[in-house]
Amino acid sequence: MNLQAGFDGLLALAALWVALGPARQRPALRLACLLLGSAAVLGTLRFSGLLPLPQLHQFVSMLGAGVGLPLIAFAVIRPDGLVATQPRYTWIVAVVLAVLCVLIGVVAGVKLWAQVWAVGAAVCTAAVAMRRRDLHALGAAVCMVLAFAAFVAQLRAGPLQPGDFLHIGMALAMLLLGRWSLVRSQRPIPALQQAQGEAAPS
Amino acid sequence: MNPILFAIPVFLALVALEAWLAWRRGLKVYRLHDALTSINIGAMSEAIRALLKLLSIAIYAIVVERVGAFSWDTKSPWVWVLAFFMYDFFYYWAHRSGHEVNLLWASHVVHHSCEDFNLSTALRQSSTNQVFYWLFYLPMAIVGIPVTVFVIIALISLVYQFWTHTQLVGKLGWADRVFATPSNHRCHHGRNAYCLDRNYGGTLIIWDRLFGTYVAERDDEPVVYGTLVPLQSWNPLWGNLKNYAGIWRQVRSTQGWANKLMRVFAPPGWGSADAAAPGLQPDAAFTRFDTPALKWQQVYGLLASAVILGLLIHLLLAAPSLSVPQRAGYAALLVLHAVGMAWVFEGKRWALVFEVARATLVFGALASGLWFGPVLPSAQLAALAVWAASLLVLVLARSERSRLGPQLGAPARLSA
Repeated sequence: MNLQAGFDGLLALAALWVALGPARQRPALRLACLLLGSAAVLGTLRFSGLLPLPQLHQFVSMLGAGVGLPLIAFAVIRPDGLVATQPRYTWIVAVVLAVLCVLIGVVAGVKLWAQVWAVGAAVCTAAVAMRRRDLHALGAAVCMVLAFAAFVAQLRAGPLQPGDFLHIGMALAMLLLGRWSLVRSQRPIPALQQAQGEAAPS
Repeated sequence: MNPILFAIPVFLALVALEAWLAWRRGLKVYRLHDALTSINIGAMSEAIRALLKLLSIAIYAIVVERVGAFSWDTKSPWVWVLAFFMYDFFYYWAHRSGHEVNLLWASHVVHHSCEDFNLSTALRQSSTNQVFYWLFYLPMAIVGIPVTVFVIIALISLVYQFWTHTQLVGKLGWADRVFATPSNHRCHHGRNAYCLDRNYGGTLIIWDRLFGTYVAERDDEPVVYGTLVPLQSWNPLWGNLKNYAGIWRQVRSTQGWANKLMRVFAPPGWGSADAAAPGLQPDAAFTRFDTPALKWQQVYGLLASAVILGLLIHLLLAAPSLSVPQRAGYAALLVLHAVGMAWVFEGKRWALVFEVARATLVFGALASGLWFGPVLPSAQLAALAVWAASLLVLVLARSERSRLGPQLGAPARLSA
């Protein structure tokens, strides 16, 4: 097991913990974490040499950036909004973003597409969290922005590769988002309550 | 060479065979206007496919090349078996989404707008489905199923589904529980309450049994074919665009972005107003759309359809050597041809003038050699002959209609 696989594994654990635990009631955050977690699992398999599927890893990572990060932005910026709280809206947004990723990122070959969405989503999340003084969300967004910056700048330090900084930053962001979700779960979600009210038999 | 070129004569021969068998058995399964409309909608769909250069297959091929996770040996039979099951599984979900997502239903509704059920219904395919449906097969591309395997399996599925559109084959016992059969597919095309959103399977019906959408055909309740909100037109262009126009109107009149989004992506009929949509009839009161089928009008329909098919075959043959604007022009010509024929069927006031002008433009251009690529002298002669025949039949159809005018009335609906 090398360092790259280890940090990818760390990110996978953090993302899957958030998806299966604190984000259970938040479909946008949950789906984002599942996407990022899946990419990290594929990364772990790839870099550990157990099942190297580099193209699939890159594809799912692209979806994680181009779909997952915008979903996180939706979840944090409008935590009580329909996209963040109702699965059908989450899926509509996710499918539309995924189609754009496939058409522009894969078919047209514009690889920057998903990265621009990811950085844009992280910066917007940071700006809104800062204005609201929401420390957990702000910490998560700052971790994501710094991780992207380190990755784009191809930062290396000792045995750490640029991808390792990305994975460490994202794993920290996931943990902070998990904490953010736990704190918020103590408050009611109006849209969710409304949806549950509609679903209940009259 | 495009395999559709081989399929066209085979499918048409089978349509003719079914019509003859039905006639021999005294079954009223075909109406000429409806069957020709189905064939022309199919021709239009193929013309537009030639324009878009097989969009879905192109996207599939690119995704396999750039993302495909595994490489597969196409000589191994297991790869084909796996691909068949994967394709059929994703076909089920694509088809189900085609019924349960409003935007996709706007595309797929064309196929269900037929109020008869026969082999020509199988040819009535949407011109816009290739814009959407590639999405559902992406998992196959992502795992790397080669494009040749995908295309051949898709063709097998397409050919298989052709025979399920018939009323001449009854129930088939155990096969009805495993495969998509005519009995299962008759239910799928029904507007009866028990038939709605059922039996989506393409080749296998096991997916419906697995996911709870299977229903068996009932002997005590004949299937009534068509959609809850009927098309009420023979116009192939309107058939393709009607539901998109409806969605656009709904989106514009709906308040709030979330509701607008649901108008596009929710199941058809989402929202309150649709329950009382005009034209929604209970099954017992349902009547099929029909217009008077006059002798010369029918002759014109056969002649015009033969020309459409001839031009389509030429377009498919010539497509590789044509530029995109040329293909677009050719496809537009075919669409205008089919629309003109529909207007003749519907007895529109402007149909004669439109068709005379269109025939003069098209056959005049063909006869003078101003066409999409080189024109043989025999084709120029044929164009002149068809031009003359078209004008003659149009005039005869018009005078027949004028003679019978008071007895005809407006387009009517027939008892199912």
